Amino acid sequence: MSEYILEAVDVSKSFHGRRGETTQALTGVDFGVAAGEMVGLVGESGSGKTTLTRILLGIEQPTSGTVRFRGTPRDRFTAEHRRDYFNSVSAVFQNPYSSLNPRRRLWDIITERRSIERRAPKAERRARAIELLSLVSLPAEYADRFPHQLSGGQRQRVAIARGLCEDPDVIVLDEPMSALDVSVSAQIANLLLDLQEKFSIGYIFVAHDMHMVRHLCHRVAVLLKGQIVEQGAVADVLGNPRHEYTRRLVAASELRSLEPEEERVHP
Amino acid sequence: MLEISNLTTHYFQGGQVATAVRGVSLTLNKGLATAIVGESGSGKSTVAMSVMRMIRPPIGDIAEGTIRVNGTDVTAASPKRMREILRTSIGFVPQDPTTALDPLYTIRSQIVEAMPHVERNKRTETIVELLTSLGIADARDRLREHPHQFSGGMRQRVAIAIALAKEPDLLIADEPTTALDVTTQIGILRLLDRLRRERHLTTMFITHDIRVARLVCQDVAVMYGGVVVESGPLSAVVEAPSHPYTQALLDASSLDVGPRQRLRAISGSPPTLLSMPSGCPFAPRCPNATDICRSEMPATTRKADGSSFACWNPVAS
Repeated sequence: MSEYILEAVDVSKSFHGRRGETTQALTGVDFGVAAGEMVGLVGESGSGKTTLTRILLGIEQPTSGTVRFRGTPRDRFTAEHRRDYFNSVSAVFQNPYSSLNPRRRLWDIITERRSIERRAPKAERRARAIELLSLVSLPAEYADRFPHQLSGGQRQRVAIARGLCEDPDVIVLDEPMSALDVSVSAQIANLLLDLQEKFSIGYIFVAHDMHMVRHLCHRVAVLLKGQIVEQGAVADVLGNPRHEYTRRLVAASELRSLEPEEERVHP
Repeated sequence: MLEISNLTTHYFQGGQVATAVRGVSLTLNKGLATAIVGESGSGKSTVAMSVMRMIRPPIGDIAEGTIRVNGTDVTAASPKRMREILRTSIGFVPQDPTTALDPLYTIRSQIVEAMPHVERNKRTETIVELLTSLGIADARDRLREHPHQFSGGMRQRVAIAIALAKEPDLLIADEPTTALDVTTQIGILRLLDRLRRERHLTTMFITHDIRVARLVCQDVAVMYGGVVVESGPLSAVVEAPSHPYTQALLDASSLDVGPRQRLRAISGSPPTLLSMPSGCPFAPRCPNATDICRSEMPATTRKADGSSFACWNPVAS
């Protein structure tokens, strides 16, 4: 198990509501990602996908269980570990219209991490931004533009460039294609594959689109009501689903026609 | 049933005129579902909004063309006549039922609003029947509940009930399953398909996903940059696309290239309303584009299989 760069070990999380009720968001989740690997995380809304990624990113603390980075559990992090962790794990969010600060220029958005971490001089940040823009196939002139001057697909490229700033080992991709058009999301899928090949980054790919998961991921974990009900190689899990929910998910994505007789099977 | 001819719709944006729909002609056949497929900015929703006359100054205006709903030209209808048509003939299913339903009113009161023609003492009965047929269990007990007590899929069923309460002839569904979970989507698609068959509902199904369109629609119109680039029977268009954009869209969404192989993506991005090219809107991204494509809009060509396309250099079949 220690081959995982980033992993959640027996993680549970509960939230306390205003009226004293408790919501169990995650129960005993084991989940991890290795270098150069793409792991899909699927499940319906409210299944805990976002909570799990927030815990892995260190935004949220688990109620019990732990997050390990390069084998070291979070509660035993030294200052060195902590810096390494925050530099090596990054995220790309679903909506590139809301995830980029509209008042900042692209070079500033892309390399913000560098100014927080090391107060890097502006010249260095700009140079890095131009490198990163070329990695995501955007022209260098874009460094001085604002997000509103770009299309949705270009914005998502900027969000990916930001995620790459500190040469991460893991990127959490939270439905990175679902706000994009079909013709553009294929471009982004190709870009993600190219970057993974080049830098052997581990991706955690949160998604609704089973076609994309099947196409892109090595492994997949199916989350239902806060528990992982099935996890393994994509070909096994989606090719031969064992859990009822996975079966429905696969059936829904493979449907070729709405045969009336199936209507009774799925109410 | 619905006949749109040469429709041009503008939006007014900060002193500028943005043409969202340019000369769209489209016929929806009675009792069939027609998919309007396109990316954001293609004008697919604007066509639907134009049919409902929801684009008026100062937001925008229908500049040209006619839209006939059951023979009545809605572009020329008086506001009073238009309200009448909307009240009786056209049902609308929104993309996101969570924002479309009013959180402060009960389900019953929101459905009742759409059925003034039903006698007062029969309304509850009619609503229960309607909700039950839409797959809501214990409908009678749930009438007094509010939208937040329903799940996403159930809320969409309530929204569909509102659209159907007036017993419309035309149902316009704008991405009705995009906001729902994958497994819930199928239930809603089945429901829409069943309603179309049982009630002979003419359906306009707006979607960006040609895979979803294939499940519920018989006809299709593919839009790009405000024009219909290809239309006709869905099976004909999907099996032998003539327009390079239709071909590219099918390529980009077909994932049969083998795991982790590069997808055949369309380079570039769709035009924005204010930077619309003068010729064919797809020309800047089109592999077949020649000089004439960039300067002049192609005319529509009809094919033997009943479909038609607008392209100077169609895909070789």
